[in-house]
Order: sequence, then structure tokens, then C-alpha cells
Amino acid sequence: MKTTDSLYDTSHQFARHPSDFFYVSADGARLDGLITLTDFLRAQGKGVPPETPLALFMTKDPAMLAAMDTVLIASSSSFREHGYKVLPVVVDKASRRIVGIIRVRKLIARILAVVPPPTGLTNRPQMSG
Amino acid sequence: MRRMPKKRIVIIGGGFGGVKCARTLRARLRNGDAELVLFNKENHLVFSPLLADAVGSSLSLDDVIVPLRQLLPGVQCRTEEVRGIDLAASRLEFEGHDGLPRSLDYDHVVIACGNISNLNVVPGMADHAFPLKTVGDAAVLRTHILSQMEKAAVCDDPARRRWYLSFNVVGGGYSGVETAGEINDLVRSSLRFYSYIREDDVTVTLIHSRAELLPEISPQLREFARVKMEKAGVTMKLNARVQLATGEGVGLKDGFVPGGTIVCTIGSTIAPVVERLDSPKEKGRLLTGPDMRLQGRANAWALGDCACIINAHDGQPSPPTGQFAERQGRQCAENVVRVLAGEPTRPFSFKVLGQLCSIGGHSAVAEMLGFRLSGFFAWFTWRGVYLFKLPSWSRRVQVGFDWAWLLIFPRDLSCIKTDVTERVSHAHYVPGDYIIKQGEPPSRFYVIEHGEVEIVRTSPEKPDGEAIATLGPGNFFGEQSLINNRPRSASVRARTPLQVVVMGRNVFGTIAKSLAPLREILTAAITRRTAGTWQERPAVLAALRGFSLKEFIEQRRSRC
Ligand SMILES: Cc1cc2nc3c(=O)[nH]c(=O)nc-3n(C[C@H](O)[C@H](O)[C@H](O)COP(=O)(O)OP(=O)(O)OC[C@H]3O[C@@H](n4cnc5c(N)ncnc54)[C@H](O)[C@@H]3O)c2cc1C
Repeated sequence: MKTTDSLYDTSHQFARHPSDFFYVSADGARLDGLITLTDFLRAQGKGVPPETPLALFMTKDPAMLAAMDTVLIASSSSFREHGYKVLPVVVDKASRRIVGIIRVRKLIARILAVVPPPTGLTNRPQMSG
Repeated sequence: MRRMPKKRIVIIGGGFGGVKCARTLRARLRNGDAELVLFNKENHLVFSPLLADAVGSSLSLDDVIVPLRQLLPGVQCRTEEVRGIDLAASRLEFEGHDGLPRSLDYDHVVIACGNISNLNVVPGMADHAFPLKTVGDAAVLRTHILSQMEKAAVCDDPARRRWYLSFNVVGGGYSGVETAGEINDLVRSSLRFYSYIREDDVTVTLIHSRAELLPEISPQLREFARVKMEKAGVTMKLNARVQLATGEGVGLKDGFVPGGTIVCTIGSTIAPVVERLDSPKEKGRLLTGPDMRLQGRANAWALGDCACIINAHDGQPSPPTGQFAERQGRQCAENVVRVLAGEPTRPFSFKVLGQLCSIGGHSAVAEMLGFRLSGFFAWFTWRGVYLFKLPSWSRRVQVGFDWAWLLIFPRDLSCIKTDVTERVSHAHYVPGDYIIKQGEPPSRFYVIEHGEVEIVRTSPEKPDGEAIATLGPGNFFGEQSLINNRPRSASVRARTPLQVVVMGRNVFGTIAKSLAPLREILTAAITRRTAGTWQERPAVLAALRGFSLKEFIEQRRSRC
């Protein structure tokens, strides 16, 4: 989405696409922010007028990872400290060209799959995803 | 009939379809010939067409349910949830009373597990709307409506008061129309007991995406229903598709309808046990042959809302209604009996008897055996039809008396709170035990003393549940639902032997209100909860070091 798109445009996007966030970019390549369903519902809840541009209620300068990063410790602390559910990944932090995202749920699912419970767990929990 | 070795017939689901099937089988097969087992998560049958009446207090909650054991003498009724069906091995798996997996072999299985409501059809709906599918949903919604009225009665701000008294019902099918009519009746007929509230403070809006309500009935009756409901004070928003729901109301394509209550009667999805079943499906419903057997299976049958069955009478797929479910239940039982006797089965065939829908104000619209009825007489017929479905004369007299009473006297306005006596205590769990189950009403707050739990969330996409976080000693859970007063949004399961401190909701509320630091910790926890505290453990940090970022990147698509 673009920074100039309105709250009203945002509602259309969320209604049409089964996604819980959209990238926001003025030129379609550089990451300017994210608009999550939570940002959007919070704005609605506050009574933000429908014509308000997205730039005013999106998550600006979201925490992001560079595709060059090889370890995930940085991402996990961002998830933890800020409560983010997704983190955008960019080519490098200067150009901010969008590559994709990583999701906290996927990360947690992988961790639970490889890390054994500390003690005494007889029924290994079933997991999917 | 020829004597045959005793067979075990298992029915999954005690709704209209499953119950009719079990009753017919019991009537046709002697005890010595067949053992009948019916699994249903609740120990009662719910008359869903009457749920709206229970919301509007024109019926008591007891009147819309019937205990299965009384309804089905000679049938073993079990309340465990069936988790899976192994069609090849003729065995089903379920969770026992102690949470351990168990299995049961069968000679024939009848799958009649209906469908479940799915509020994820519209963004925000799952967080802000009330569904209406179970008797628990009806009780929660009724209590919410009455508490909104209590708040409105003491609110000095006129705009806020109107917001409390604005009720939005989404969906113009049977359940939406019945619910809007009943809420409108309940609120307006009770105003004389709330001197501070004016008639024009109340708004009940029925929002429907098509040009006309109730697509199943004739245009004249539809028009009658619309005019009658509008006269009673219901605002109609037709051709209006809801795009989102928030805590303040619902967003439409061309506007926002404020209101403190949203009831969502649209959106359903298949039950998890059906979803997991490896058998051909049509839009999620189990595809059956003409005689209701699952395709390619000799001893597995499906019926009701969870099945896609072609009606031999008109060649059309059967609609998901109570009337069809019942008829399928009966004909399916007869086919099972035929198979046991080595006779050929018959295709499902049914000519619809009529349509009935209550619209509030002791009025209904009905089309029966070629006649069209509307108004009080239709309503009386509608109620009478359900009265005669009750299992015994004593029950019919009791419910009939309740109905007559509520016709004459005002509706019950007591708003029952289900708080139990409060205490702070310790509790112990073994690995695999559930401390909280998703969807339960909130009642307690927990602090972990020893051990670990995992937070598991199920969704239509992940019916088996997805572990989204683990918590260890010093951590706490259960606060989100208590603060928001919403059903639990996830389950919590012990991962290791566990000891927790348990606090009842009032104790928790009092401490959280008076102790500022606790309040701050809770607020911070709620905002970072999904981040999880799993990484506190050294093993987790080690695992994180081993993963590479590339494995987790979801490439960008054109939109999101
Ligand atoms: C509010 C409302 C109003 C309605 N009004 C009308 C109306 O006016 N007219 C009409 O014809 N129809 C109406 N319907 C539809 C009608 O209720 C359904 O079509 C009918 O109940 C379907 O019957 P069923 O037997 O297929 O499933 P259900 O009645 O849904 O019963 C399924 C049962 O199976 C149980 N179950 C599911 N999975 C499992 C499992 N794994 N293990 C154990 N048990 C399980 C469930 O707990 C449930 O009790 C209405 C529905 C609602 C919700």
C-alpha cells in the first residue's frame, strides 16, 4: 500500500485479502512502514476519520532484518521486546528494498520441534505448522 | 428379520440428524442385535431454531435443550469429543475423560457432526462479535444484552447511552432474522422497567448483503417479514456487506454502523474431525453416494450439515437445515438396517414440508403444505411444531406451560453472573493436562510456580492446534480474557509437571486495580504476549543460533 492511501482504502484491502498486514511503500520498493490489522483496528477504535492517510496510523520505521543477517537472535529479541508478530526482511538497511517477512509463529514452531521439554514430559505435545 | 451377530453402530453428533438416526435405529433393531453408541460433546440436543428465543428471554435456556439420555433410551450416550476416524480400520479415536487418547472399533459409523461457526469471515469479527450456535452462546449473548441495558440505564452521556443500546445483527437468513426480532422485542418490551431509557435510544439493525431477507421463502412472505419487523422498530440495511468489525461497531462499504453489540450469524466451517477425514468433499462437506454412504466406503455414512447429499426428489444438493438433517437421519438409519439384513439400500429423497421463521413480536412467516401463513397464527404453529418434537408428554406440558407464562408476563431481566466463590489456591497438573481450554468463559488467573506450559491455539486452518508459545516459572496466564471479558482465545496445556497459583476473577480484578505495578506489568505482558518467553531457556538460544534466517523468509508477493 502507499503512504497516501486512506483508512478507508485500508479497510478494503483487509476485507479483500486474508492477510494480517500490508507493506507500506511510497515507491513500491523501499519499505516505509507496515500496516497491521491491529494498527488498523486501533485507528478505527479511536474514531480516526476514514480519509486519514495511512502514514498517520501505520507502524513507522518498523524493526527489520537485513537479508545478510545469518543468525536469528536479533529477530527473536525484536519479536520479544516489541511484541511484533511479523518482521520485514530487506536487502540492506540503507536501501530498505523489501525481500519478504519472517513470522514469529513459524520460528516458535521450529523451536518447539527441536528443543526438548526440560524434564518429566511424558506426552510429547502434538504440533502442526 | 434374520438373526445376526451383535453389531456396534457408532453415531458421531447428537444434533437433529444424529438423534433421529439413533432413535430410528433403536426402534428398528433389538438390543441383542445392535449396540448403539452416540458421541456428542454436550449431554443434550440443542433446538437451534429456538436459540434466538432464549437470547430474547421469551424462552428459558432449559426449554431449548433436551437431555440426550432421556431422549435416547437404549443408546449409550458419551460426551467425549471424537478426534479422528480411521475408515480403513473401522476405528475411531477420542479423548477420554482423563485427557488420554482412546479408541473404539465399529461395524458402522454415522458421521453427523454438523458444522461450527467461523467468525473469521470478516476482519475483526472474531474479536468483537457474538456467535449464536450453542446454548452457551445464547446465554452469553443474553447476559451481555441485559448488562448493556443496565449500563445504559445509569449512563449520563446520551451518545454513549445510544451506543450501549445499539445492536447490530449481521446476516438476514433464518437465524439473523429471528435474533434481530427477539433482541428488538426484549429491549423494547422491557423499557418500562428502565425509566431513564427512551424508546428512540434503542436501535436494532439487521444487516444483510442481499436485496431481500430470507431467500428460502416466497417474495410476499419476505415482504411481510420486512414490513412487520420495520414497524416493530428494526432498521434494515439491505445490499450491505460488512467489511470489518471493531469494538465500536461494524464498517460497511459506504459507512459505519456504531453499536456496542454485534451478533454474527454468517460464516460456518466444518468440524475438525471432518476436516481431518481423508474422504472426498464438496466445499468441505463430506460427499456421499445417493444412499448417504461415504464414497467408496461400505460401512461409513454421513448426514446433516457436515454432508453433501443429493436429494433424489429434485436432484439438488440438500440444504444445511434441521428439517433435512432429521429426514436424512431417519433414512440413513433405515439404510443401515437394510445393509445389516443384506437388502439393497435406497437413495435419499425428501419433499420439503414447509418453511417457518419467527420474526419477533409473537409473529412468524410460514409456508406449509402449499399454505402461506403469517402473523400470530404462524408463530403459534412454529412453536407448536417444536413443542411436539420434545421427547415426552411431561416435558411438553412443562415447556408449554413456560411458553404460556412468558406470553402473559414480562420477560425475565435477571442478568445471571456465573462467578463462583473465590479463593487463592495452588493447583497441580501432569504433562498433557489442560489448564484452560480455548472458547471457555474466563474465570481464573494463574501464576506458574514450577514447570512449563504451552499456549495452543486452534483455528479453522489449524484444527489440531498450533503451539504459539511456552511459559515457565514466574510467568502468568489467563489475564487477557479476564480483562477483556471474552472467552479464552487459546488453550493452555502443561508441558511438564506443573504447579500454579490460582486466583478467582474478582480477587484478580481487585488486586490488578489497586496495585499499580501489577497493572503495568499486565499491560506490558499483554502487548508482548505473542512474542513469547520461550527464548529465556538456554536450549532455545542455542537452537536459534543454529537456524539461518533464509529458512524462514516468506518471499514478498505483489500484495503483502
Ligand atoms: C441460530 C440457528 C437457527 C437455526 N434456525 C433454523 C430453522 O429455523 N430451521 C431449520 O431447518 N434449520 C435451522 N438452523 C439450522 C439447523 O439447526 C441445522 O441445520 C441442524 O442443526 C443440523 O443438524 P446436524 O445434526 O447436522 O448438526 P448439529 O445440530 O449441528 O449437531 C452436531 C452435533 O455434533 C456434535 N459434534 C461435532 N463434532 C463432534 C465430535 N468430534 N465429537 C462429538 N460430538 C461432536 C456437536 O457438539 C453437535 O451437538 C438454525 C441454526 C442455528 C445455529
